[in-house]
Amino acid sequence: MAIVGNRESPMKPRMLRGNREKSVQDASPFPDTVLPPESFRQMFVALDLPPDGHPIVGVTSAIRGEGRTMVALGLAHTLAGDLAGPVTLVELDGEHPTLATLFGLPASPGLFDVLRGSEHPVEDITHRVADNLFVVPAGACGEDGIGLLCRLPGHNPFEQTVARRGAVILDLPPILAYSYTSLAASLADAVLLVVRAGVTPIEMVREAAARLDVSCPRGVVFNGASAPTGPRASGRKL
Amino acid sequence: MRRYLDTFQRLWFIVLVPILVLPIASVLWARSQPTKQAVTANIWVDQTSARLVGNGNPYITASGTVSSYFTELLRTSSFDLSAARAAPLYWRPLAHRPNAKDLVQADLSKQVQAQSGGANLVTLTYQTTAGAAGKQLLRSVLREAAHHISGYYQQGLLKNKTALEAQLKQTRSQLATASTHLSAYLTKHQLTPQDVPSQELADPHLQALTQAVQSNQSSVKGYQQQIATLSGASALSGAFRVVDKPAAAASATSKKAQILPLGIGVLLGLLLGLGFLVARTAMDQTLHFADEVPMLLNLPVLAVVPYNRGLRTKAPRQARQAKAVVPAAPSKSAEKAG
Repeated sequence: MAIVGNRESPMKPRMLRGNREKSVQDASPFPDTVLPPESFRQMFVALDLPPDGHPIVGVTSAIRGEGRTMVALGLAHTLAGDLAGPVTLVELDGEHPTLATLFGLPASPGLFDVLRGSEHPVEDITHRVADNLFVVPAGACGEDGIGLLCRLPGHNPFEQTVARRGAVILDLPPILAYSYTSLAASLADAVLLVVRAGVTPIEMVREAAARLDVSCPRGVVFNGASAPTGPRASGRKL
Repeated sequence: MRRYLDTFQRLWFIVLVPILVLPIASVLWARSQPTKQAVTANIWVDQTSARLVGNGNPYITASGTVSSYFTELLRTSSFDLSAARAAPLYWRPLAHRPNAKDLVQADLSKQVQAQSGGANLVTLTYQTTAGAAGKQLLRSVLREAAHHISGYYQQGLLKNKTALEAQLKQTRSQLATASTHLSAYLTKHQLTPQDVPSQELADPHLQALTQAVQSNQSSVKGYQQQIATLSGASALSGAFRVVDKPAAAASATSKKAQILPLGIGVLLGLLLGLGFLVARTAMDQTLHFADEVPMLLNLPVLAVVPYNRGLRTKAPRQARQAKAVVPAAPSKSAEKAG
């Protein structure tokens, strides 16, 4: 039985057809309940990051609609179950925030409020949504929201918390939509570029890949493939 | 090839619709067309008349002569127009058209065929979709043709008679000359006409003169007989008679005519369907297979997330319409090298 959160209805998760109602506590907006968790484990293993460290993994895409947030959610949920330390999913897409509505969290305060200099401590914007899994919503983006992203490399609000928190998954905005995405991505130890089959033109993906830091490990997550995964197409380590 | 198969898998309905629909539509269209009917009439040709007006060629039969008269008449626009006007059912839809004359001539010259069957029988066939109008038209053609062909006959008889009379005159002149020579010879040798039979055996010259006179006399008689016969034939009222009145029968369509619409439909459907498949695949600039990523982007594929219908959103349409909002930035490696 699988239950997927409904982005249009912020109050409660939507049920898939044919399933009986479950309580909100048992609702699962995570895609790895309908997609194999092994896909997300493959991503993490392929990045070749130390499992006992405190990695920061950025998830981005060339344009919207490629499944960036779904991959970040699935990866965070899977790692939360597999890793010893806590996993924090940070939403950096201020223009189209979804995590607050997905988990029924208050939309504000969020990350952009903290970057703007509000008095809310980081702990106030970090919400526990499942075992070992924490979510930081984007908060109120405002007109200056995108510009705040360029402050991230110099003012990382999670610097003190990473050492204690464990792995961090950054749900970055699309690269071609905002120039500062590549700046925000520089925070990450590794970046996943989500590409959706049959959607994004090759030139756009090429442009997005070119904007990523070549010194940072990066790879492609091919989303929506019609053929099953094969040894050649998946599981490559950097 | 794989990309074509992938496109077909996603859009098989659009590809197959023209391949299936067009042949069916073309067959239905062909069946909906009005069936052509063949209106035929058989006529009997008077052999004597035809022989008299013929040019003496023993290989041209009477029916062949009349058949060629019909063909010549049907190519004449005035004949076609008068025959059409005398058939109201046929003429009514054409009467108000400015190019009615050309239409009628084109129709009759191409669709009416006169064929000879045997020495005396000619069959007229008219291919049309309107049986009743076709029968009326064919009757009108036969009536008009009867007048014209009688006229041809009269002309032919007159022409032959004139030629015969000229030859008769010439032969008479030769006879007169031969008779004068014979008389002179008889006078010279003091012979009488009664002495000719007994003397000609001993006298070769007398024999030759006598034979010349006799030959010319028989030629004159022959020409006179032919002229008399032709004079008697000019009173003939008709050159042919209709033995089978015009009757319509559905003309059997050839196998080729049955298969052609289906073939065209299949060909057109294949062109459209496969053309769409090829064009769509060629225009598709997106990635469809994971192994294309390393080749085109020079990046490794870390994982492949299989397609799940339950997670499908409206985003793909928005994604296709998205455009890069900022110009291309130089790559960071180029910056670091600089």
